[in-house]
Order: sequence, then structure tokens, then C-alpha cells
Amino acid sequence: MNTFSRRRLRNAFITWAMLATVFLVVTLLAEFVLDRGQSRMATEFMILASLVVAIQSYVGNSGLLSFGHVAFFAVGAYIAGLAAMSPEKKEQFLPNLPDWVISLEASLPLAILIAVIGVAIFAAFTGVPISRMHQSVIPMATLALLVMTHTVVNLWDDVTRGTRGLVSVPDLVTTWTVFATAVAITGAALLYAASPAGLRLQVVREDPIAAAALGIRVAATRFTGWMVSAVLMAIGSAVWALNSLAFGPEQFFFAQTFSLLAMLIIGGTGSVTGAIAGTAIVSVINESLRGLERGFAIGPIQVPELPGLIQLVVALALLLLLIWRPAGLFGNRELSIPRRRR
Amino acid sequence: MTVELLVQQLINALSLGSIYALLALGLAVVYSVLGLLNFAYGEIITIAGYCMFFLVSGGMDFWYAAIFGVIAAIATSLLIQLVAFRPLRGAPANAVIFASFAVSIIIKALISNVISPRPRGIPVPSWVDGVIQLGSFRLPILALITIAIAVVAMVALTWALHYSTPGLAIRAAAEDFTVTRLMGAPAGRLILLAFVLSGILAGIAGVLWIARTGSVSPAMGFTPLLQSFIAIVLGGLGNLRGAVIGGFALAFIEVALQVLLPTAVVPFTAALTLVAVVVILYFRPQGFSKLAQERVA
Repeated sequence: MNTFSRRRLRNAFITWAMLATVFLVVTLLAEFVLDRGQSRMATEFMILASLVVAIQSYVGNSGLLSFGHVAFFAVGAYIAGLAAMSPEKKEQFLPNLPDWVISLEASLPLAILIAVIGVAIFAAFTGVPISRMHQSVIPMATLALLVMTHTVVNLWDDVTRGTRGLVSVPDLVTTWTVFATAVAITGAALLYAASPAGLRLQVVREDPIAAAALGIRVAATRFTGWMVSAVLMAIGSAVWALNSLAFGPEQFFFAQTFSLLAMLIIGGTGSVTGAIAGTAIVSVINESLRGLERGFAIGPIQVPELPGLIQLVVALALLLLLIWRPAGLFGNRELSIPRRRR
Repeated sequence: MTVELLVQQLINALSLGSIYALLALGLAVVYSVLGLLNFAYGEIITIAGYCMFFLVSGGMDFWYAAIFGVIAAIATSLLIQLVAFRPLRGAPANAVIFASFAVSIIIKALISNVISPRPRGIPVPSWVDGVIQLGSFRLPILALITIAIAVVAMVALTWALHYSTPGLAIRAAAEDFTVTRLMGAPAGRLILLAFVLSGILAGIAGVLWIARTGSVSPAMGFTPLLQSFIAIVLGGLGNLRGAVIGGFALAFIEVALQVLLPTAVVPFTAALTLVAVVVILYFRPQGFSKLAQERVA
């Protein structure tokens, strides 16, 4: 388990090529065919798919459900947003920031780099105790991490503007940069899953005691997965922030967590392909119900506004799917060329 | 700090701790049998709360309504097991956890759509908010009631777990569910019983929680869920005695932080409590489970 397996690598590259083609088609459609609204949706789909794939690289390989990735999402988005905002706007909206933060005006690569460093530090501090916990507590511990982060983001007025959120974040992202991000994150996730470190984490997932008996350090292996996933999450969330332009703490809490995890679980936590397919399915549900949520009329009957209708439908669909197919649509299977029969 | 203030805060911590202990026990009973945390646990309290809200607004006395609240809690607990746990027996843990999370989302969304997304007040009888003046000590009545009810509930639970066959089976399942089944304990009935117990405990804790906060809202179940989780982790997982110790430990940490921290930091108490818990778990990943190790009788 200490060297790359050629077969696993080859399969990972095939899947990567196929998924990259899917993203390329989406990007070309967004650039040349779709209207402005639709191409915006296509861009958002690719960003969300990157985030879900980042979560998958931890949840899928470790078998541990994490509610805490939205905490990484929040930290990454705020750091990237703050780094890229122009000094004048920071002076105007966040005068209490330290001077060196105000004077900073990062380009896209620099903003991503700073977000990655910030999230990596945050993930390292939280990952050490979480990786040592018993596996059935980790979901709850990550939920606690989410709550803790939300409290801080919500109340730290000098840095986050509290509930009012960040505004005037510059638009540094094009459809092509989003495409590149999605392809890079997908590739990294597939490569990690095929790597010796990823394989060790999968062994731990199947049987922690047997893994320990084979000489795998369980906590260290889980910690590696946590860090890889956090870094991917940071890249995705920086791009998200510089595409969204304005956001507040409520975007990084339960609704978001549920939505991202639903995407992951509907597609199947075990595969990157599943994560992307799940994102597509939930995005379609979201878009088609968005109109209904504002209230609608059936003949003469006026149905009032229905807050949370989307969540309700997604949750019901998810529950039925889980009962019918507990491993999600794709299970552990990835997109690949069919095997030749011998 | 004066002795009077210290005693008052002590009573405060004890009453909060009793609620947390009951909550944690309810979550731990199911965990000990299934090895899974029920993420829809908070909604048991939410439903009990709304049931009480309607009865009290309809003119019923608060404490009579509380009985119906507990019954609603048992029904909800059984419903959760029927919808999220039973159809997924043998499925991967993540699927079951997320199914219970989905149930929690569904219940919240239904309440905010059908009733109202805004919090509603429940009038708590005014004598409950009074204090008993004992020399220079002021003892809040609600805190005393809370402690009394929790002690009675815990003694009753201990008695039932120790002197009845199903109770013995539950305790055995907490040690090792597979071996318990091999000994002839019916698994399905044992799981049902665990959910009933969980509903009773959550119901009682919920009533006391509502008497303390005086309102209900669709998201009200979240804080109790999180606190009971922290309590059982602190107490060492899958250990009923540990859940009680963890509940009291959490309440004492919370009250101590509230009293000792400067006012500017008080809004961060919840976050700081979690930090304190993480620090404890860093040094003792098994929580206080050594203290709570049950001796085999």
C-alpha cells in the first residue's frame, strides 16, 4: 500500500478525462449557446460540483459523514473575499480591519492561495482532535464545528460585518476559470482516491481495527484525508466567493450543509462521478421549484409563499432514495469505459 | 463572589445539568442499542413543544399539557424509528444518519410551512417563575422543580434498567448488541423499547426546557440536540451513566463560562463551550468514561 497501483491510476485518469469532457461541454454550452441566466446557472453548477467533490474526497474515502465542510466553505469564502476586496471598499465597510489586510488587493490566484493557507491552518487545528475521535461521534463533532464557526462569523463584526455579510467582492471569475477549477478539483479528488494515502483511508473505512493491525495509523490517515479535502474545499469556496460577490453568514449554515450533503448522498458518497451527478440532480430540482416557492396559483386558488419547499422536496426525495438504494445512485462506481469481456 | 451568588449559580448549573442529563440519556439509549446517533432527536422536543403550545393556547393547564407533550414525544420518537431507522436496517451508517437528518429537515420545514416560521410564546404559570426566600438565599422555584423531576425520572430509569428483564436487555445491548441478540433478546422489540425510552426522556427534558425558555419555534430542537450530543461524548459514548455525568459537566462548564467571562465575550459562550469540550477531548479522547465504567453485577 505504499506505491501507486498502475491499474488504479489508469482508471482514475480515464474517469477524469470523461468528467472533464462533461465539464467542457457544460462550459461550451454556457459560453456559446445558453442565454445569460442559463449560463450563470451552468457556472454555479460547476462551482457547486467542485465543492461537493471536495466533500466527497473526505466522506467517500473515510466513510465518515462530515457536516463541518461548510465551516471550511465559510472560512475560505470570507478569506478570499476579504483578500480580493479593493482597499477603498474595505476602508468603507470594514474600517476596523488591521492595516495590512486593508492594503491587500489580491488577484484571483493570490486570493485562492491565501484562502488555501487560511483553511489549511483552521483544518489542521480542528482535524487533530476530530481524527482521534470514535468514528460514530465524528459526524456530530463536525456539526459542532459548523455551529462554532457560524457563531464566530455571525458575531465578529469587525472582520465579517456580522449578519450584514460581505459586499462589493470583485468579480474575478470567468466561466473558463470555473471550468479549470472544477477539472482540477475533480482530478485531485480522483488522484487522491487512487493514491496509497487514499487507499489506506479506504481500508480504515472498511475496518479500522483490521487497518490498525496492518500497521496503518488510523488517526493520521483520517487527518490526511481531512486536510486534502479541506484544501480542495478552500479552492472551491474562494472561486465561489469571487463569483457570488456578496454573501452573509446564513449562506454557510444548515440549509447549505443540507443541500451540499444531499447532492453528495443522492449521487452516492463512494464516487466522484456520483457527487457530480447528484449536484446536477439537486440543481435541477432547485431550479424547477424556485418559482413555486414564491407562491403560485392553481386555477382560482392562490397558494401563498412556501418557505423551505425546496428543502422539503429534496429531503423527501432523499429519504425515499436512501430506502430504495442506501448507497446512492452510483454507489462506489465511477464513470469509465466498459470492460472488454475475455 | 458572595456565598449567596455562588449557591444560586450552583443551583442554576444543577438544574441546567439535570435537563442536559435527561436529554443525553435519551440520545444515549438509542445509541447504545443501534450504535447510531439520531439526528432527528431535537425534533422530538420540537413536536412535544408545539403539542403543548396548542393545548395551552386552547386553555389547558401547563402541567396537564406537559403530560400530552411527553406522549407526543414518544409518538414522534417511534415515528422517527419507523421512517428513518427501520427501513434502513443494515444500510451503511452514513445513510441512516443522513436519513434521520432528512427527517429532521422535513419536520422543521413542515412546521414552518403549516404553522409559522416565527417563534410562539407559551405562557408558563407565573408561580413557577417565583423564588423561595431561605434566609439570605434566593432559590428559584423552576430550578428546584427541574432538579426534582429529573432526579425522580433518573431514579425510575435506573430502577427499571436494573430490575426488569427488558431493562437488563437494554443494558446488555449497550455493552454488546450482537451477543445480547444471541442470548435470545428480540432485536426488533429492543429497538422499539429504546426509542420509547428515548421519547419519554426527551419529552420530560423538553417540557422542562420549554418551562425555562417559554417559547416554541421550528428550529428549537437544535440546541438540545447539540448539548445532548456533547454530553454523551464527554461522558464516553455508549455509556448511560457517562451520559448523566457528561450532562452535568457540560452545564457546569457553561454556567462557569457565563459567570467568569467578561460581558463582551458572553455572546461567544456557546462557541467557547465547544472549544472547552474539544480541549477536554483532546486530552481524553474517551471522555470521562473511566469514571463512569459500569461494574458488572
